[in-house]
Parts: sequence; structure tokens; C-alpha cells
Amino acid sequence: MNLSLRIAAALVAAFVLAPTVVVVGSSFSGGTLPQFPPRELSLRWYEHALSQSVFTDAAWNSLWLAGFSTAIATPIALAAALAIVRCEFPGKNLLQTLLLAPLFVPAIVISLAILLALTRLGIRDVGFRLVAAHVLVTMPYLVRTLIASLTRFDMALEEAARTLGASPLTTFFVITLPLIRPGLIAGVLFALVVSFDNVSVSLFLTSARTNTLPLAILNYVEYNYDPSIAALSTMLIAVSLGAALLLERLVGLRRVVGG
Amino acid sequence: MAKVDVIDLGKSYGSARAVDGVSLAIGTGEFVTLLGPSGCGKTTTLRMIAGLIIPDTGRIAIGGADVTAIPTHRRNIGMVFQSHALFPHMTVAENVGFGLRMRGGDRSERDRRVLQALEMVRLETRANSMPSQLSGGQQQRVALARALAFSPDVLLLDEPFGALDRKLRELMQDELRDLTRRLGMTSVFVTHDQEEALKMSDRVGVMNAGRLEQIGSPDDVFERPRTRFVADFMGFGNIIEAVATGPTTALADGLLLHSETSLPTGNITVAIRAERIDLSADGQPGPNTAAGTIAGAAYQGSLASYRVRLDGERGTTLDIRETTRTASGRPRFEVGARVWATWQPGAVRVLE
Repeated sequence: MNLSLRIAAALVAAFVLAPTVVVVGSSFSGGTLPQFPPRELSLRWYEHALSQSVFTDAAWNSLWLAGFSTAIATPIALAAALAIVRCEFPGKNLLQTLLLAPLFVPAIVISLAILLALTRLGIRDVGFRLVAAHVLVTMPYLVRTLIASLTRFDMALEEAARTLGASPLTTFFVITLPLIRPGLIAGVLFALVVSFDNVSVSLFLTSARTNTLPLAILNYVEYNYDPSIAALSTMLIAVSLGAALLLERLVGLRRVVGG
Repeated sequence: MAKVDVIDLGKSYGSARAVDGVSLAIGTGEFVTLLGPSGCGKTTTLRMIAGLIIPDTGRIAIGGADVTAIPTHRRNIGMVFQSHALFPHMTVAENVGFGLRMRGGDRSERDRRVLQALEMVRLETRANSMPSQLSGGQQQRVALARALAFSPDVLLLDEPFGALDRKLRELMQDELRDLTRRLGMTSVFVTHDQEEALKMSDRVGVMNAGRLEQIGSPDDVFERPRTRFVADFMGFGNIIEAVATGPTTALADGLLLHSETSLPTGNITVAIRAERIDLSADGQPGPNTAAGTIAGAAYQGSLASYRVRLDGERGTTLDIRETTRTASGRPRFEVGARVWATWQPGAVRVLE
């Protein structure tokens, strides 16, 4: 890389990272207002954030929601990806487009559609509503990574297993699944993150009593302006960063994004 | 080890008939090769024997038992793929032991047979390596050991040496042949390489457009092709249309052909192998002798090949190959030289 390119890259990185640096920096403020750079360093707003039940309850809700919807979406996405990659059937392209649609359709439109549909069906249970909606929005990420892994998969390996005496089911669990595991893990991590920080869909479906963490944060900043939000955000950044590092270690982030 | 019977096998894809009425009886311990150009149906036939493709018509029996409706994993076959198809997430020993593991049974017995199979291909020291750590030839040997470890009834090989370089390929051919002979293993081998087929097989089946054109011993298909396709595929070089003029004579463009065997009447097609024709600077007209002009000469290392335009009205050409005889390696005759071509009556083959 020559010098001007390095400078350009550094400027872009600075532009992208600057807000994050401000948030992380001000989360350690000791005063009642977020300051950057903080005049005195303190962890009191971390303590404050973690002691508020609006946040901790919402965080648990978000975790459960992410885990539950991903657990439901993954087998469905795997079955769909297998059908799309392996089988020929009418409407195959349509199915693929529909499964990926939540990526292109504006989130607000999807949210409204889900709300109307669930209301029409008479489903009032907030937990059920949220899980159903989150399964829908996490599906494209799983389908996309799984299609990529399955397309790369060498069918001769399954054929070899079958000639060696493995039934189709055994072949799937002993050969296919272990070999597409990187794509599967990547898809699952994506789905967890997408569900965890979803705002738009949850906004339409939560109730006064059941909230998710992103919405709790949103509500809080409407009426409060103290560094506890910065502290929460910093913790979320740490978790996301951890997930990204894990992904990089397990499969290589570039392969996942490029796939 | 068992015999394999293929009876009137057929498979179509849309309107294309990939395999069209193939019947084949392979004896116990026999090594049969299906030979033909790509798209001739040889691989489809092999995959139907394996159960990886379901035939439209016909039956397959292994050891006398009809397996047409039996799925692949219950057929007790060993198969070697061109791409090796080793399981990348398992060690060499785990790969080789996979067939035994699927069949259940004692762990120590399995370990013993895995070691035995690895010794067979001289890779016992690499048992704990991963497939990616092996060379191409070693990977193919592991694939072979894996296909043989559980004592299958029949060994199926789909162009297993296609990805190897020439030297390694020849080595592997010898090894495979030794091994199948020692084990008395019934084997079906698929290749498009004529030399490979002739060298290894007890019998060679030549396939074209989904049909088995001819099956016989290597010298049978090489020396005595029955059809134009087989003659062409076996590199005869010269396929000539002629009219029979007597019980053993025929005329083609002023050229008098004399055959050892009796000829059918009317229009016939004959084939003469390019290596069976001798060239000389002088001669005299007679049966199986013709004058012409060198129209092309090419150096091919140990061989020199010529194209001779005969003096007849139709301008028939003959392809001739001979061992390079000059010290310089240059062809003996220049383009434009006058030559005589002559061959033995036994070299003339009549085609259907």
C-alpha cells in the first residue's frame, strides 16, 4: 500500500470508529452528563445501568428472544437451503426470493405487515408475536450462509459415504453436517446478532410490560440523558466484538461476508 | 467377491438416451473396463451398478441376487471416485474404517482390518494423517483402501487415475491390477483412456452413444473391431469404403484389397491399422500395394506419421505410423516424395 492509500484508509477508519470511541469514552464519565473525553474516570454508570430492572429484564428478554427465534429458524433455513441447492422443483427461484425478501423489503413495511397479520389471526401473546417476527427477519441470514456452504459442498462425499454403507440419514449427520458447520455457525451467529439488536420489528410488537433491550434503551434516552446508556452501549459493543472475533476464529469473517 | 449381471439396462434424461439396452455379465474375480468417449454412458452405467442412479429399465444382479431396488448403502459395493472423495474431517484411518464402522462390529477387529487395508496400499505409517496432508497418489490409495477394507462384493472405479500425472498413473494402474488379482476382486473400471483399458482389463467393453458396441478381450477389441466406431476409437487410422469383387478381394478407388478372411458381398467398410502399413521408395502394383505421394509427415518422438495420397481418382489418403528409423529423428520421406504403401492381407479388417 502506498502512502496516500494508507492515509485514505486511516481517515475512513477514523470516520467509522469515531462515534464508537466517543460512546466508549463517555461511558466512563464520573459526572451526571456524558462527557468526552471524561474529566474523571468512573464505573458508576455501569453499576447504575446494571442495577436498573428495565435494562436487565429487557436484556434477558432480548437474549431469550434471540436464542429462541434462532433455534426455530435454523432447522427451517437448513431444510429450505437443502431443497434450493439440491432439488429441482417448480417455484424454486420464487421460494429463494421469498426467503431472502426480508433483506430487501423496508423493515417498517415488514413490521407493519407482521403486526396486521398477527392481529388478524388473533394472536395476542407478545412472546409468540416476537418470536414469529424474529424468525422471519433472521431467516435470510441463515438461508444465505447455508446456501453458500451447501453449494460449495462436494456431492461425491455423500455418494462415497452411501457406497460405504451409510444410510441417507447417517450420511447427513456424519458427513454433511460436520462439513457445513462453519457456514452453520456463521449463520447462527448472524441470526443471533440480527435478532438481538432489532428495533423496527420489535417496536410494533412489544407491550408495556415486555420489552427488548434496544427498545428499553430507546425509551430511556427519550427522558434521560446520563452516561448509563453509553455504559450499556459499550457492553453491547463488547459482546458484538466478541461474536465477530469468534466468527473470525471459527470460519474467517471474510469468507462469511463474501459467501 | 461375486459376479455381476447387468441386464438390458436403460436410462434417459429427457429425450437423450444416456444408456440404451446395455447387457453385461461380469464373472467372479473378473476385471472389466467400460471404455468410451465422454458422454457415451459408461459412468452412468457404473453409477447404476452402484445404485447412485436409478435405471429406467433393466435389472442389476450382484452375486445372483437382484439389487435393482436395493439402495446403495445396502449393496455391499466398494467405489473409488475420480475426485478421491475422502472425508476431509476424518483421519486416514477413520476414512478407511468408515465402511466397517457402518457395518458395526468389534472395535479391535475394525482396527485390525483398517491396518491390513492400509498395509495393502503401503500407507500404514500415515494412519493418523488428515487427507489434505497426503499427495494426490497417496489420497487415491487411501480411497482404494477405503473401498476394499470391508471386503465388498464388487469394486467399482470411476476414472480413478484421471487426475494423476502420467508416471504416477502407470504406477497406480500396476498396483491396482496386482491388488485386485491377489484379492480375486470382481472389478468394473471406467475410463476414456484406451491404453489404460487394454493394459489392465480381462475384458474391455467399448461404449458409444449409450450402447455397448463391442466387448471382448483387450486384443479382441484392439485388433478385431467389429464396428466403425470401435475401429476409430482404437486408433485404426484408415477406414475405407470398398466394393467386394470376390470372396476375399475388394476394390477401393483403384486399390485392390486382399483379405485373409472371406468378405461379404456388395459395399463394405474395411479398416487397416496405421502401424500395419509399410512404406518404401519403390515397389510394383499388386494386391494390398498402392502408389502415392507423401502429403504430410510429422515427427512424434518415437513415432513418425505420414499421410499418403494414393493415385486413385477419388484421392483416397492413407495414414501410416512407423517407428522413427533415421538417426536424426527426421521422417524418412519428405512431403511430395513418391512412395509405395503395402500391407499384409491379415491387416485388413472388415467392419459391420
